[in-house]
Amino acid sequence: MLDYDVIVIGGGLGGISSGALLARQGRRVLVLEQSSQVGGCCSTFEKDGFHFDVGASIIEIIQPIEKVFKMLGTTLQKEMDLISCDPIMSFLFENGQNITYPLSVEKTGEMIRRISPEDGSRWAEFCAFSQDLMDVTLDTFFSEPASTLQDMAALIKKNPRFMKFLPVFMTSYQSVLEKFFKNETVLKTMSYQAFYFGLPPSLVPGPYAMVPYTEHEGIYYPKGGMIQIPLALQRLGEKFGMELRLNSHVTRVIIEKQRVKGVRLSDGTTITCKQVVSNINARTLYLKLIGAEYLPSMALRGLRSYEYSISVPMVYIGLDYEPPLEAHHSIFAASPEDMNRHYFEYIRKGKLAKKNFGLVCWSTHTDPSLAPSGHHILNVIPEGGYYLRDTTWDEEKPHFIERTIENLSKKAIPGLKDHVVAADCVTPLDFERRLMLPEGAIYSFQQDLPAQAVFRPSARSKVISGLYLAGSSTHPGGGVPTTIASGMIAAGLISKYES
Amino acid sequence: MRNHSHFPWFSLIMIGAVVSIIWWRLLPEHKKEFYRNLARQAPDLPGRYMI
Repeated sequence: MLDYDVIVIGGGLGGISSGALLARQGRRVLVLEQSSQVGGCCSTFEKDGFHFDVGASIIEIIQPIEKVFKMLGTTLQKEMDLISCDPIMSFLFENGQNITYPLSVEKTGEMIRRISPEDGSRWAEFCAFSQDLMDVTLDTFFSEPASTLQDMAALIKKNPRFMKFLPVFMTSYQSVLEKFFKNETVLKTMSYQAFYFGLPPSLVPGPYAMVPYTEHEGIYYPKGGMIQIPLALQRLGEKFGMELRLNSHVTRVIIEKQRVKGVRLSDGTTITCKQVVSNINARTLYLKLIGAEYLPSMALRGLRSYEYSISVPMVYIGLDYEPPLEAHHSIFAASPEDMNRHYFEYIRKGKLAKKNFGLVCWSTHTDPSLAPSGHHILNVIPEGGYYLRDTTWDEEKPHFIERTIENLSKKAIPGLKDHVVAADCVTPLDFERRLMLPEGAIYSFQQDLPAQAVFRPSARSKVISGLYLAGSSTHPGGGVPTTIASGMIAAGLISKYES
Repeated sequence: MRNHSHFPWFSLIMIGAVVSIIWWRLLPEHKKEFYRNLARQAPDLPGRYMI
């Protein structure tokens, strides 16, 4: 008798959600996580009394997450204390001006109208377009397999209105945005969200331009930190019999006659199973844990051809005062062209920007319990490439923390440097080493059109029987709701094909 | 001598080429970047479909 029905490699959001759902189906499931806690990028660590989120900083587009919790027989709201963020976002302009958007769609429209009456009148049109796109794609593209042409046909069959939005995939985020908005100030409040997909606005596929609207559908933060999401999934999975082993590093997926038979751990232990769900990067899985010899040459070429999305160095700052910010997320306002320039001129060329760029997350604005009384937390995401032209991330790290704090103190958050009581940084190299994310790419492979849907590594392996993929390197890609959706898709496929 | 009425293929191809060049030149840089990125990765798509 085999040791387990399913072994899940990696306790990130995709792995832990598929593990919980498969346990709910009555399967004997073992989740193997190489680190000391679940969640991967969606987790929280403690330093000097401050609870910093590792990577993910909010939940938005909540529907796929709610669906998974419903499939587990509960609700997201029952399993954690979700705090709604309002205002949703503040934009810091170089001239010292701030624009802060509230949750309300109508009030945001009024604010945009004050900046540009023409763009204000188009806001309602943009919202209607985005709402329609969101309704259709959440029901299809973001919750169903999309690995084969048959899958795509099934999506269209499920909701024929998906056809209407297919041409939008052939345009970019920037094109969609600029179709609705012309004013540069307005565009500067809607461009950064392209980086949520690891690419600049000129390369992100058009449908993702709905995000500046979907944020107004609700942005939430789980009380206690982002780790509450994977912890809730772990708890539910264990309720259904799922086993979790932490600090368990898988070194090999055992294959016989192109079918998975089990896994081998770094201590030499072999564990047998019927199916494997891999939540680690697809290239690492196929090339290091399985071996290139099992892949047809064309598939191997395809696998090697993927490029990685941007890396994200994170700076974690503990403060002994309340920073003069206005929202959970503050973003340095940047036009689509600023974003493209930053990507092509800095990130791709291995240069670090000298001025403020990126996102500042003020998590204690939403949940003060994350820091000691009277203290606050800022997670700063200045954006940067994996390769640095003149140095390495290990050498750069201490200077990077210092320079980030110095830059923020100059204009954006005056006085900040005098109130720093704790600081840390996770560089792209750290992400690579600690979370097994190649090139520190938290969104995994690029999420441009040639790496979407049928051109992304298949959730049900096309070369190895019994092998399923979850996580950011498979469909629908990186991000909190999408990786959870990938776990749901993998569990659904196993239920369909492995009775 | 036979009188052939040739369909003007050559003219059509030339007009098509000129229109394509003008269309490309008039495209904003970000749209060119989008299509360049697509074209650059096009040879990898059959392999990606197989994995």
